[in-house]
Amino acid sequence: MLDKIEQLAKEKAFERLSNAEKALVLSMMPREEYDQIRRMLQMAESMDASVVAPERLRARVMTQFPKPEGVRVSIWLALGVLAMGWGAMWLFRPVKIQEKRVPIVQQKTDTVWVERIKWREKVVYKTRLVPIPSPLPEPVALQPEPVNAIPTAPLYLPESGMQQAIGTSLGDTPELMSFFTQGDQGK
Amino acid sequence: MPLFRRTYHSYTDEALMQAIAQRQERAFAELYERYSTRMYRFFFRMLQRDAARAEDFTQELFLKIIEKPHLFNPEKRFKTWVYTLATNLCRNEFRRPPLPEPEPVDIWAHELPDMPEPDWLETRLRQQIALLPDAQRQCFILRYQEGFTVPEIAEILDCPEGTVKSRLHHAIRQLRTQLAGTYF
Repeated sequence: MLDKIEQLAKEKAFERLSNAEKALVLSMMPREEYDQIRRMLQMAESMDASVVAPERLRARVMTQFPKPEGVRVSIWLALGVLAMGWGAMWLFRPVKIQEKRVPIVQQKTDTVWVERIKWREKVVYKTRLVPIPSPLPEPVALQPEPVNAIPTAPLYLPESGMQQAIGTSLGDTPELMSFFTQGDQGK
Repeated sequence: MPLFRRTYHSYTDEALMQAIAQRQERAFAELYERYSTRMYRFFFRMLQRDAARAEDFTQELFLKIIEKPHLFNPEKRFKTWVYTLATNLCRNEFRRPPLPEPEPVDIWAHELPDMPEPDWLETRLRQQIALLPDAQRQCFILRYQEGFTVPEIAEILDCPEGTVKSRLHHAIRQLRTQLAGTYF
């Protein structure tokens, strides 16, 4: 019976008791005693509410828990490391230079010199075949000179200044050279 | 290896104990979070508010859970089991040579204040609880401070319910007698 009253005192104030409960309580003890027990139990319940386990205790206890053998690597940790590695490789990848052919057209203007030759010396090289006179054989006998022979005309001989030997080169005869080149000067 | 890390917040205490038996450290961490302060406070009350010894006892209790989780019967409630361990630890402590007795408290040594503060009343009540016999103090703390029912206390202390009721009754009567006239 007393444990019933203690239960009531723990849960309800005297005013909130039903009539039957009040009658039960008053049959065992006066109201003041009930209120006294109630105050005492309430205070005992709320006592030491601020007491908490120290944080260092957790560290001490958790270190006693046996560690699993080997190193367990979370799959997420492994994936994260792989992703970081890939990112680092991408970040520090070697720089590839792509070559591209770009045609460049350069326009250049230059000076053109037109050269007009007004006069020049013309050099003519001529060759002439000169037969080498073969030695005549020893006449056996002189041909008889005709009796009625007509005398031959005298040979034309150039002027004294023009007298040159046949086969002389133009370089040696400036007069003759000027003769040949007069025609070009008139043009 | 599980793909996702298992969360133990939704686990019951009994399921946590099964996980601890399989060496799941995070299950133990969750159990510690649930019970560390409660058990520390219980030892603190049982051991005359000795914080250092309460810390040692709490550590010893959790070490027992780590070392011998297979002793727990999953068909029973973990809460009563862990309090059984705790009261056994305290019982062993009580069997040791007693520490120097606390000086008897004379509540009449000082005049009662006109308007008692809650701390003053709490101190008086705490002193009187400390003076209760060990068996009565165990029952009182378990019933009115830890919130267990009488059958649960009987299971924890491994004694008949009638014994628990009797101890509770005697404890309350002694406290009320000692505190009579001090605003209670």
